[in-house]
Amino acid sequence: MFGYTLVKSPQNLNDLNAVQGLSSVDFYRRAKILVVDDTDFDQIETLKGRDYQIKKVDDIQDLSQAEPYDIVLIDIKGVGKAFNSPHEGAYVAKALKETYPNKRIIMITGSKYEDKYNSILKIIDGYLNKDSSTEEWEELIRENVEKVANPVKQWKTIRNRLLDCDVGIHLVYELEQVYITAIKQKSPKIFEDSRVIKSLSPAVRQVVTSLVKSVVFQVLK
Amino acid sequence: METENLQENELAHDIREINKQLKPQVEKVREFFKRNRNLQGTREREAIAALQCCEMITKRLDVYDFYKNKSAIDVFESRFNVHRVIMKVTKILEGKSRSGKVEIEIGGSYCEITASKKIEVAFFVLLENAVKYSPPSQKVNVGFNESETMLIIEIENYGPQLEEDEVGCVFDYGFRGKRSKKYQRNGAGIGLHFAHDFFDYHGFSIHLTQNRSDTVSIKGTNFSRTIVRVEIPKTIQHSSLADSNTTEEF
Repeated sequence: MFGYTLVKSPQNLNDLNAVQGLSSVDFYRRAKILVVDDTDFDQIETLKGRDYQIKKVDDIQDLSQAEPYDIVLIDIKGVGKAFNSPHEGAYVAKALKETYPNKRIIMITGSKYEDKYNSILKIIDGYLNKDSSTEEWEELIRENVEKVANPVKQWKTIRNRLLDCDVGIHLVYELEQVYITAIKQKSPKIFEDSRVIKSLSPAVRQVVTSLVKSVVFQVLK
Repeated sequence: METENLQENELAHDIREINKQLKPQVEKVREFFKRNRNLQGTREREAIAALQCCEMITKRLDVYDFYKNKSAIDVFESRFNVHRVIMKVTKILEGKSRSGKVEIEIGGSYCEITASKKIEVAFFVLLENAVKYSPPSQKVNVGFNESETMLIIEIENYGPQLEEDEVGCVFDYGFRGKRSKKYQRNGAGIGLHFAHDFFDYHGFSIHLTQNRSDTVSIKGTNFSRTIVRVEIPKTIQHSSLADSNTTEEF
């Protein structure tokens, strides 16, 4: 007589492209945007009037202040005093991207004259001139919301980070399956409560849990 | 020299900062007239002209930025419709073209390319040049030609006739043809040089030809049919990041 074991078919990440979600308008209005700059921008009030969720702060003292946000726009200079780096905002931009690879980090700049900043530009997601028009602000935000709201792209970013941090491939696979289930069933809790997340080191767990706070999961609520 | 560079950089930074404060205020005035159609008229046109000036300041600073740090300007490439970029540039030049009585006509195209969006600056400079040197009541035509591998954009207008030995110098820094200097006193001969530099840096090519047999004479100056042709390969591989000379690790 033969015995058999029923093996569950693996779910395909690309299936998430077909998940019926809310319209893209909801993503634009639900994505959270943080602007870190010691000067004011009139464009921000205009964009708030168009229902974008934007918060502006003069500076941040800790990277975790950016955790609730999907997109961070940060001044190249004049911010990041608490980090004691001569590269100011540029240093913070780099640190944010390294800590939260799934977030979109954009540098606000009045000048790009020093080529030492080029190494930062390589790893972040874009820059915005200080004197950009409101239309350019909005276009940049929308482009980046589309990227940050894509569940497949977001997972691939996190997956690469997990593998770079030497998380076992079997754990990465298991977590990916939980992620796909959570998105398909529109239940962030399935992902949040995953035993795999609990087994990760604190630094790696921080990267994964920031995904839970992102617009990808927030629109499911 | 270093002090002068720093002063220049600070000045450019300050100008951008001022423009940053000015532009949204002018945008608000423009929005006010958009919402209050019964008040549209001269004041609205003035608001539009002011906004166009703010955009031109931005474009000038973008040119400066390019020369200060070429690697930074094209780090982020994206896919976009070139026609849309040129339409935007044309809007910025509306005031200038209206005051010079020059009309810009743009052909249609759905072509998308992958490049830095800063290419807008190069097209701005080319169109600004064409408008500046076109005699009144003439047109600047922008045409698109597409093949599987290449997008060709041609900017055609009547421009001050170049001597035969001048044609080869048009992209040189500081060069202005004899008739150009006579027709327009103001000018430093930077526009075409910048456009050439910019396109060349991105792996595109730019050429200028003049048809001397298609010449009109206006107020004693000969203007010949001039075509500036930009060739954009549809797939560009950038090695600028690998080449960029970063001297400091964070």
